[in-house]
Formats: sequence, structure tokens, C-alpha cells
Amino acid sequence: MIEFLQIGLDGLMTGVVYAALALALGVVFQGTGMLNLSQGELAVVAAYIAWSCVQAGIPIWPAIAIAVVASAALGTALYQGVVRFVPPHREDSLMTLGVTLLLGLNAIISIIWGTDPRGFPSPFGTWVVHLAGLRLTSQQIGGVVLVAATMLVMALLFTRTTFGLRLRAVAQNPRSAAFLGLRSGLWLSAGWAAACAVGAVAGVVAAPTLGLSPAMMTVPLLMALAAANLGGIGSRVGVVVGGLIIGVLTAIGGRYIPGLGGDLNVVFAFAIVIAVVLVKPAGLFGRESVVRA
Amino acid sequence: MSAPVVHTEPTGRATAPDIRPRYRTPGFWTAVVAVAIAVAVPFLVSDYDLFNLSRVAAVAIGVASLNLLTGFSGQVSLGQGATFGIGGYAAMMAIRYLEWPVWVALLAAIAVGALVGFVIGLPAVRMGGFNLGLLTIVIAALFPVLLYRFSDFTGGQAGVTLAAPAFPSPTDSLTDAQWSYLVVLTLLVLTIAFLDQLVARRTGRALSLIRAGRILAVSNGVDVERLKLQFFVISSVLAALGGAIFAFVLGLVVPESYPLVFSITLLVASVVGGSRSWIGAILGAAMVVYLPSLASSVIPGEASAYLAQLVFAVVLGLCVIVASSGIAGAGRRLASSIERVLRERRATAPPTPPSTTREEIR
Amino acid sequence: MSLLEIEGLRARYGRVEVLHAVDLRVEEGSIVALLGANGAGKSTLLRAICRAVDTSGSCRFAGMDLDGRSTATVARLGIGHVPEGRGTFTDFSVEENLRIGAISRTSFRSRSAVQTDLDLIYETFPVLREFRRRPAAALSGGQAQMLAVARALLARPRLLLVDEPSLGLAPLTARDLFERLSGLRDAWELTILLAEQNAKLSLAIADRAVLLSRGRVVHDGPSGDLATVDAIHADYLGGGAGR
Repeated sequence: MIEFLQIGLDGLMTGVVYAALALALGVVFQGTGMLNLSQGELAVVAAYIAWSCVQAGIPIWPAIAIAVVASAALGTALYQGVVRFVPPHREDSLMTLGVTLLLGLNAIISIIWGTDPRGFPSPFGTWVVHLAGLRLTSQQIGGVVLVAATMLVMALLFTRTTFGLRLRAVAQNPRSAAFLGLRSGLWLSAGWAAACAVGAVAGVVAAPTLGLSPAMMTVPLLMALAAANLGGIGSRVGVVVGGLIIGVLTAIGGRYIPGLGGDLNVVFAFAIVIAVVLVKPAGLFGRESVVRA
Repeated sequence: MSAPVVHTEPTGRATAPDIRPRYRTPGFWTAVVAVAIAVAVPFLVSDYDLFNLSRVAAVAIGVASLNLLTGFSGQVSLGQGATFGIGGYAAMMAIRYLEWPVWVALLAAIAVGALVGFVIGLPAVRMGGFNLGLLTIVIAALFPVLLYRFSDFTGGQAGVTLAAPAFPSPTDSLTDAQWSYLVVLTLLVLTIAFLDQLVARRTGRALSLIRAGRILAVSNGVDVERLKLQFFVISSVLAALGGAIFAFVLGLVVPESYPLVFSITLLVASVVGGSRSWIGAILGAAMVVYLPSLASSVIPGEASAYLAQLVFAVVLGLCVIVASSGIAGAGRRLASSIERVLRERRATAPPTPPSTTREEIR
Repeated sequence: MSLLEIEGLRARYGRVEVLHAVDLRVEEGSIVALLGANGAGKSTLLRAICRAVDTSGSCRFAGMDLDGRSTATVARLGIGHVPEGRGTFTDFSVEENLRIGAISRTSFRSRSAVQTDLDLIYETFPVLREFRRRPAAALSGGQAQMLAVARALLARPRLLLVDEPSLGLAPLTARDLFERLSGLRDAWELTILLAEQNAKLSLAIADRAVLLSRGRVVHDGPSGDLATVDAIHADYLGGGAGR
């Protein structure tokens, strides 16, 4: 029983990374209608930027802050430089664009930083807590706290500020938003910036455990895609809950279902998604889409 | 090969059936000339170049199979590289472990391709759009993982190798490389001829209805899902065939040939070449084969592969944003605009203003 | 000087030109009804003023040239647009919809002015106050149209463009809405350009009527004018087909 709880708990700790990445996917999707397959690579870029800062002698926390800010800037640049030129209703073009960014960023990372895995220092120290037979590392606790704080900031930003109101308005109905004086390009790039900042947090939280390499976020990205589908990509709460569920279930499935484990857990994650989507196509928290005029 | 690429069907809309016999169309004659040149090539270049050209032809079969999906039935698959790899593994393992003859092994790859196409296609055609992209990207990402996981069976890192050339030359007057190239070229021509017939037939027009819109297709009595599944299976079969030929040309299959990036590269080749053009498929495949070696002449070492990848990404991005019909489409547009300018000059009519659509908001 | 001066305005969707050299003046403080059959170009004219379609020709608002400005900038200059189909943010609450209406103001003017206007809106449309926490999707057609108008008002526009407000409304609801529009002009110091198929309702509140047919102005005169009524009959009943 203790083992079961421990595995579930570890899964939850992994799940926060999926949740953060899925939130980034969701924010971009709601704004631009694009499934940003490069979100994982963007998180890797953030982790490498933090790593490079640490190598240059900057302490870890300022390094993370620099990485988050740089990621937000990168997100804005990608939107303004590339994404805005693709018409939003062309689903296949947007899909291909996501692939383009994935391919390009992966190449740039590999050229700049090489493909050899590197160690990434944990910003949370190396202590361990034992509680009622369960074991938690500082990395797990710190990761959860950092991601939860990021989510809280995002939730407040989206629902309590006019910044969030503008973002949501432009995402939901860009034409109406323009009639009210909102520049959709400006606010969509702000949405990309917010998404990439969240993705950056996912990257620096995942890096100490996964080891820094260009392919570091491939599996988490697939898990996040599963999470977004599971929770419903149109719902910010949904994608986060989806990420946590995927984290816990794949950890448990990987341990107790013979043949699973490692990267194969992705198969299990998508099996869950398919099972849920068959019953509720828009995901657990998603609303069924209606044709809007 | 510098003849202007002319295609009988304008892109992007359902056209009325072309009543001219096929041998009268410029496209047909372009193809005849291209094949004639391609047949002459083995007697002009080195065996190493032939090896590369054979790879181009094999990859072109894979890209053409993807064109059938993306260009002609509007489904974006990110997992075609995995199917390509599965075909390669199926054929190689049939030869290596079951000791089947090469041609039977090719048939085995085709059968496996059909099975894979059916299993993936059944859910895939219902999903469409982003979900199809998701499903296929997962398959592409998992394929190499599975190859390592079941290494007892697949040979793991070392893969499966052939003891002897798959297409040994039957006569002394041709080297193995020359013969192999001619065989692969024949298979490519047969594949493209088959695909061209397929999309020109009634089902092809039904497909253009599907692309134009699901509701339109259904109201015209087209069973959308059945047709899409049919095309998904055919596409997988051809991808597996291309993969098997590719493996035969190389003489080995290893997991590192089929990472996620390879699947994406096939999509790049399809889009960049022009996903509604068969010649585009060959151009795209040539890019896949030659760009990495070009890049390695710019930067040595590991980075060169990533430089090639970056070039792919940039070109793909440009295609998505600027020229959505790829190189072949751009060539076609160039040819038709030159033709129009000449005609207008003859008629001394005022030139039509270019259509500029500027939208401030979405 | 008129508030809005349009000369030789053309608009196109892709290659198809739908407005052909339209001239129009709208005096400050007036209500101008823009009438015409389906496809006459009424909505396109409103969108052209807002720079939401490809346009050429001159379009001046309060002496400022609108050419080359974006839709968002035109809105900030003081032109409110209630689009066809209302364009409310259906996932937002009613109050969020209203607040987003005032969003371009909050950055440089005091919050209290917005709050005063919001209270004024709730006074004018009590039903919006009642439903202010509900999602806009839950409103009926008439309520949603009121919300759309109210949202545009909160930007404090000088010129309000209203596109087919009676569309999909029951006759009584539509009449009520038009009476409110007339009252809003005085309360909010508005100039209104109203594109509408329902000629009877529009003429009742308009000072002037402009009749569009196939992308051209075919009549322009005071709304009480007999000629206006004749022209409308001619257009709707087939007599105007040759024009």
C-alpha cells in the first residue's frame, strides 16, 4: 500500500511538469488555434539558457528568472516573426507550422549546445523528507511549489487583471476585440509570451531529473499533449488537471502493468486519452464545440 | 530535367474531368522525357552517385505516399516515417529470419503496411485534423523506442543487415549498383503511375470533394470515412514498400534511421516539393538525401546534420507561409504567369491587377 | 464639417468589389438609417469604415483621415461598432463583456468614469445588471443585442455603427430596441449610423435615410420624405432592379 501511494505521489510530482507544459499548449491553442508542437523544445531552450547562465557564474535563481524572461521574449518573437503570417483557420498549415518550429528549434539547440546530456543543478537542494513512510525529495517538493506558484500567478493574471481580460477577448473573438480597440497581434503575442514563460518553468523543473539534452522534453511533450486532450484543450483548468491525472496514472500503470515502463508509458497515456475521448470527445473539462458564425 | 513542370490539374479546387487523352497532355510528355533521362543516367555517373539516386527514388516512394494523404485527401500524418521504417524492418526480417526471397519479402512489407494502415487508419480517419496529427506523432516518436525495447527481435542498435545485395545484377554488362538503380527506378515509376491513375479516377474527384468540405462530400453521396480509410491504407502500403526498397538499397535497417525527426522530414519533403505533385515528391526526396551531405561540406561533424535540419525547417516555414504549393507549385505558377504575360502582350490587353487580400483582423 | 465624410469609397472581398464609389455624410448628432436589400453592401460599408475589409477611397472621421489605420485604431478614435450577429464574448460573463468594452479607456482615464458609465448602463438596461454574473451565452437574442450595444457604448464612442440589430429578434423586442437606440443618442451624445433591413423600424427613429442597392447609393434624403418611401418600395418591390 505504501509503495502504491509512493508511486502515485511520484507520479503527481512528475505530473506537474506535464500540467505546466499542457497549460502552455492550451494558452497558445486558445489564442492562435495552433497546437504548438515546439512547446517542448521551447522549454528545453529555457533550461539551456538557465544552464548557460549558471556556467557563466550567475546563481541558479537569477539564472532561472533570466530563462523565463528570455523564453517570454522568444515566444513573442516567434509569434510576431512567424506564426502571425499563417491564416488561423488553416488547420493543416498550423499543424505543419508546429512541426516546423519543432524541427528548427531542435536543430538550433543541437548546434548551439550539442547533443551530449548535461547535468542540471537542482535549485532546491538535495534534502529528503520522510512522512508516514512516504519519501519526498527536495527537488519534488520544490518543483511542485514552483509550478503551483506559476499556475497561481497565471490564474490571477487571466481572471483578475485587465491584461488577462484582453488576452481572453482576443483569443475568443479577435474580430469583436478589434472593434473594441484591441490590437489582436499585440495581445496574441502576449499570450505566446505567457505560454512560453510557463513552459520555461516546466523546463527548469524537469531538467535536474531528466538530465539536460535536446530530446529532454520529447516524452513530457507527448504526455502534455495527452493531458491537453484528456482535460480538453479549451479549458485552462482542464489541461492542468489532465496533466496531473496523466502523471499519476502513467506512474502507476508503468509500475503495475507488465511490459510498460519508461518511454512506453506514453502508450498508456494515449490509451487513457482514447478511452476518455470516445465517451467525451471534448475532454473532461471541455465544452462540445459549436459552429460559431 | 529543366523542362517546366506542368500539371494538368490546377491546385486547390475540384476540376471538371479532363477530356483530353492522357498522352496529349504536357505533363505526360514531361514524365516521358524525365523517365528517358533517368534511364540513361546509370551509364553516365559513378556507382556512388547511383547509390544516392536509388535512395532518392526509394524515399520518393515514401514521400509520394504521403502526398496521397496530405495533398489529395487533406490528412496530415506525422508518422509516415514510422510506417516507412516498419516496411523496411518487415522486409529485412523476412529475408534474414525467414529466408524468403527478396520479392516475397517486398510483398510481406506491403502486407504489413496494409495491416498497419488499417489499424492506425481506423481511428485516424475519424479524428482528422489535430487529433490525427497527435496520434501519428506519438506513433513516430514511439517507433524507435519500440525497436530498442524489443531488441531480441529487431537486433537493437545493430539492426538487421543483408548478407548479399538485394538486387544482384543478372548480367555482367551491368554493375549491381546500376541494376539496383534501374529496379528501384522502375518501382518508383510504377508507383507514381498507379497514384496518378488513382487520383485521376472517380475516387480522386470524390477526394477533392472531401478536401473542399465534409458536408459537400456527404451531400454528394461520398462515404467520407470509408474513402479516407481506403487512402490511408493505400498510403501506408506504399510507404512500407518505399521503406522496404530503401532498406534493400542500404542493405541494413537500424533504429537511428527512423527517429521522430525522420517522419517530420518526410512531411517536409512532401510539403516543400509540393504535396499535390509527383515530381514534387521526387524533388522533396532529393532534398532529404542530398541536403545533409551538402551541409556537411559547410560544417564538419555532428552539427552538419542539424544544419541540414535547420535548413529543412526554414524552407518548410517559408512554404507554409509563402508558397503553400511547394517548389513544384511555384514552378507551375511561374510557368503559367509567363504564359499569361506572353498571351496578354499578344492581345495587348491591360494586365490584370494582382489579387491582394489584406485583412487587418482575423 | 460633418462628423463622417465618405467619398468614393470602394470595398472588396478578395477580387470581388462590393462597394462602388459610395459617397456619404453623417452629421454630428443625427441618426442615419442605411437601408437596402440583402447583399446591397450595408454591412460592408460599416466594415469599410472600420477598416475591416479591403478599401480604397476617402473616409474622414472628425477631420481625421482613416486611410491606413487599423481596425483597432479606428475604434480608439471614437467609432463604436456593434457587429452583425452581435459578436459578444459568449464565454465571458455579462459584466466582463461590458468591462472589455471600456478596456481602451482604462489605460489613460480614471476608473471612476468607467464605473459611472457602467452604472448608467445598468440603469438603462436593468436586465443586464440582473444577469451580470451569467455567461453572455445564456442571454436571449434581445438581451444579447442590448449587451452588444452597451458594450460598444462603454468605449464612449462619438459615432456608433449598428449592424442589423433587429436580426433574429421578435417584432416587439426589435421595436423596443429601436426606441432605446433613439433614447441613447441623447443620453450618450451619439451619432448613429444604422444598417438595417427593416425599413419601417429604422425610418421611425432616423433623421435621414440612405438607400443602398448593389453597392451604390441610390437615394439619400430626410427619412420623412415621401421620395424615400417610394425609393424603398421601388427597391424592394422590384422597380429598382434596373438601376
